[in-house]
Parts: sequence; C-alpha cells; structure tokens
Amino acid sequence: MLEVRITKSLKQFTLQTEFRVGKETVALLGPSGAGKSLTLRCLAGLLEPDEGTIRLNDRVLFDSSGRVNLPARERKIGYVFQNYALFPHLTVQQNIEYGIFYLKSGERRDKTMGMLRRMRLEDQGDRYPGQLSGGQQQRVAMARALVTEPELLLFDEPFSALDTAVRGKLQKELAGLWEEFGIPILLVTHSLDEAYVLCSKIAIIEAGMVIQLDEKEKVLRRPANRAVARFTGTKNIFDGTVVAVNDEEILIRSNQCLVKAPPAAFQPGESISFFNRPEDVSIVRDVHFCENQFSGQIVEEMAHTHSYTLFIKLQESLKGYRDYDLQLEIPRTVYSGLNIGDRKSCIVVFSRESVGFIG
Amino acid sequence: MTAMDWFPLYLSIKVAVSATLVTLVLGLPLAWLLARGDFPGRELLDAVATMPLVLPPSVLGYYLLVVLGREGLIGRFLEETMGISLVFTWQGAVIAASIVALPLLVKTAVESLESVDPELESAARTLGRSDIAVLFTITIPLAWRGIVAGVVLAFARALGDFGATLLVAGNIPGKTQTMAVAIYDAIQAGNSELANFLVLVMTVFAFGTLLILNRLNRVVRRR
Repeated sequence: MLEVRITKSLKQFTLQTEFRVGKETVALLGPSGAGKSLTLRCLAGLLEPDEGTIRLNDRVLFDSSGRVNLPARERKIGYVFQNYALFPHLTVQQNIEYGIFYLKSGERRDKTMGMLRRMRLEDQGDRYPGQLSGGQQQRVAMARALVTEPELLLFDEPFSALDTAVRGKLQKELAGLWEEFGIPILLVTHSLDEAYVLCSKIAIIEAGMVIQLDEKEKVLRRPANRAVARFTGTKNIFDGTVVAVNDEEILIRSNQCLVKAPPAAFQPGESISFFNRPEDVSIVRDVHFCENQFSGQIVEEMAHTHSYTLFIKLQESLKGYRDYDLQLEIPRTVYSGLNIGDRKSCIVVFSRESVGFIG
Repeated sequence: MTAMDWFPLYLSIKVAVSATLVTLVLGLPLAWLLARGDFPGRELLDAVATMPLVLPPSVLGYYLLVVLGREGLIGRFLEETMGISLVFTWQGAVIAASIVALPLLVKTAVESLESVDPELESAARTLGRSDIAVLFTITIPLAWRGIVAGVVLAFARALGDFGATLLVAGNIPGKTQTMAVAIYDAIQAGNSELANFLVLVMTVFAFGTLLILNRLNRVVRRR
C-alpha cells in the first residue's frame, strides 16, 4: 500500500498530489508538464517535496512534520526511467547486478541469471546496452529494478523511446509480466490508450493535482468533471435536464432534443451534464426506428489515415458549447459507402448505452 | 662537453609528477563541485579556478611569493609553527606548477563530468547505492576519457612551466633548477651548446611522454 500526500511549489504550478495505491497497476495520466514525472521523482527520493507524507507499506519514506526524508537508496522503489538510464559502460549482466552488490557472488549470479531468463535476455548478458534493441533495453531496465525486490515499481513513459510499430506488442508483453510482480506499479503516460491497456486504475493529473483516481472503466464512463471527460477522449458534451427516470433508461431534454441515456441515480428535474464519444456515434442513410436518432448537416470534415472525423449541426440542436452539435468518427469504408461527401445531410444515431454522465 | 648534469631533467619530472598528483587530488573534487554543484558562488569559483589559465605565469608566481614568502600569511604561519619555508625549494616549484596546471585539468574534467547523464546517477541511487559509490562506479568511469585527457594536459603544462616556478623556487642549480629554468640559464650565459642539448632532451622527453600517454589512453578507451 502506497499513501501519498505531498505539495511542492514549482515555477509554473504547485504540485499537490494525494492518492493511495494498493497492489495494483495505476496509470498517472495527464498532459505533458502536468507534474506526473515530478510525482515519481518525489516518490523515489530524487526530489524533495515541500511538505506532506509518503508511506509505503509500513514504512514512512517522507514526512515533513517528522523531518523524515529517506534517501533514494533506502526507499526500495524500482524506477524505470523514460530513456531507461542503463549504464552504458557496463554489460547487461553488470547492469542487473548493480543493485544487488551486497549479495555473495554466487547468490548474485543466480539471481541475475534467473532475472535474465525471466526477461528472455539469456543470450544478452555479455552485451552492452548500446547493442540492444529498444524493447530489450526496456526489459534490462525492468530486470535491473526488479532484482532488488522493490516494494513499488515506477515507470516513466516506458514507451516514448520506442517506435509505434513495436509499441503494441511490447505493451501486451508488459501487461502480462506485471501480473506476476505482485507489487504496486505506477505508470506515467500521456496516452489514454497506453493507460487503458496496461493498468487497472487511472489517475487523471492536471496542473499538479490528481483530479480523479478510479477503476479505468469508471474514469471513462463517469469522469469527475469536464477536464477529465475531455482528456479521456470525449468530444461531445451537453447540458440537459432529466425529464423521466425508470429502471431501463432516463430521458434528458437538451434544448429541443430528447436524449435517452442508461439508468442512473438522478431525479426528474435535475440539471446534468452528459456526453458521448465520437467513435460511438454513427451515420445511417435512412430513417430507422431507433433511439437517439437525429438529422443534421455535415459542416466540416477531416480525413485521417483510417477514419473520417465529421462535425455535424443538428436540425434540432443540443445544448452544447460549440457551433456544431456533434463530432463523430467513422471508418473510411463507411464514409465512402454512404456517399455522404456529396449529400452533406445525414442522420446520426447513438445508442443509449454510449451516453455517459459527468460528475 | 663536460659530463652532463641530469639533475634538471630529474627535477622537472619529479616536479611535474608531483604537481599532477596534487592537481588530480584538488582538481577532481573541484571539477565535480563545478559540474554538479548548485550553490551560490559557483560562477565565482569557476572564474577563480580558470584565472591561472589567463594570468601570465609571472603574475601567479608573484602572488605565490607574496602568500608563501616569509612575510606572507601562509609563509609566516608555516615558518613559525613548523619551521618550513617553501620559497626557493622544490616543493615550492611543485606548488607553482600545480597552480598553473590546475585549470587545464579542471576545465576538461568539468566538461566530461557534465556530459554524464544525471539520470544515470539517479538510477544508480534508486538501486541502493550511496552518493560516493555512484561517483566511483558511474560518474568517474563514464567521464574517464576527459579526466585522462585533463591529466595529460596538466602534466604537460606542469613539465613546461617556467615563469611561476622561477619566481617561487628560484634558479638554484642542483636544488631548484628545472629543465625550463636551466635552458633559460644556459642561453643567458651564452652556452648555446648546453642550451641546444637541453632543448633536445626536453623535446625528446616531452614527445615520448605524450606518445606513451596517448597509447595508454587508447588502451583504457578500448576496455
């Protein structure tokens, strides 16, 4: 169990984090410069917070009131740096042995060999970091941290140094390995996708503060505020009033539109904010009989490698914040199949399950 | 030609080797402080450490004479408490050569220490190593090339010093007369035969030393 409550004044903002992490993998997600890496450095003892406490299991690592500030070497926290920070003048094996220098040589060798096997680096022991691929370097960095049997493992943007082609494969590998570790893991990233693939919980950080820390599904389904909603890929946010509530759905009025949403604990008459994601909205050619179906005009479109982003203005508008009502994303094949490029008018639908609430 | 007096060469080597060791002991911590330290007055310390490179050696020699001489602060203290006088001794020459050589080592060492990624040191600390262990297992090995280059430069500078050495240690044949001073002495005396010979010896020795040091450096690099 890791308990953190620290503040640290910096030039641009004040880092003010407070969170608890059990034996789980948590992603610290936020835009660059939000204080994610700084938080890791404070935990590892590489940076001293102005005040607060850091507890790991039964040990106090930092306590400004009790004047406790354990040096990095006594914290038992493994740190995998953004560029891996492997020692270039030492072989892979020497890199891994670096942190267990105090063991007898036989024991040290055994542990190192075991770790090399576990990370599928058996044949790389005598090579130097510069001779390894990015993925291998990442595994060496992990092996070097893990062999010291840390009580917490920190990853700072572990995939930023790798190209996108190998990223997906390595993320899958990593997620598999992490399950074996059995210690809390904190991952810093600015990619929602990476956070979602690798972690069970997501902490959204902005301007030095943890805005929300929840199960990843909950962060996506029920963001704490608009900032979290935007950061987790929500583009369509609306205000509305609850009209009716029953066991199967709730009905929301937003300007002239009536929107059906999944059941939630709201009262009729309550003002709420709700949203859906561009990829959950689709376009149909003809009017069907289905829920949340609206007709509108395409006011702008943007072509991507695999998809199109369309901006739609509805005939009966929703109470939103932009000069269009909905942003949606459809695959290229769907786009060309519908011939909507010529018509510009369309019918959009989204399921009631795709509607989420903010707050 | 009369029997060659090898004393100046011997003394030059002794002074240069001693001065290089002194420079290394004083210069490395100083370089580390300048490269990694974050303290008020860092710029000032940097400037002071660079001064010997800029000032004429005679000015340095004069300062040393003032400080180490019988009327100087340190000179008087040493004389009164331990009965030691540094002026006009070979130890005085070592001090002069050290001061002259120091900036060359410090400048090169600072540059190579700064080129070591601080993240590597951070990584080493999270792996349970003390700051001093990190210095000797990570920082210095990675900065080694630059440090060796600095040592070679410092040695060369110490070997060749004339002005500061002359002012502090004087020109006492068989006691403080180094090669550089002996050559000057021979030219002054119009003994061009001796001067030519000493210049040749000095040139051969300096050239040979640099060749050997370069070779050693390359061996170290390859490992």
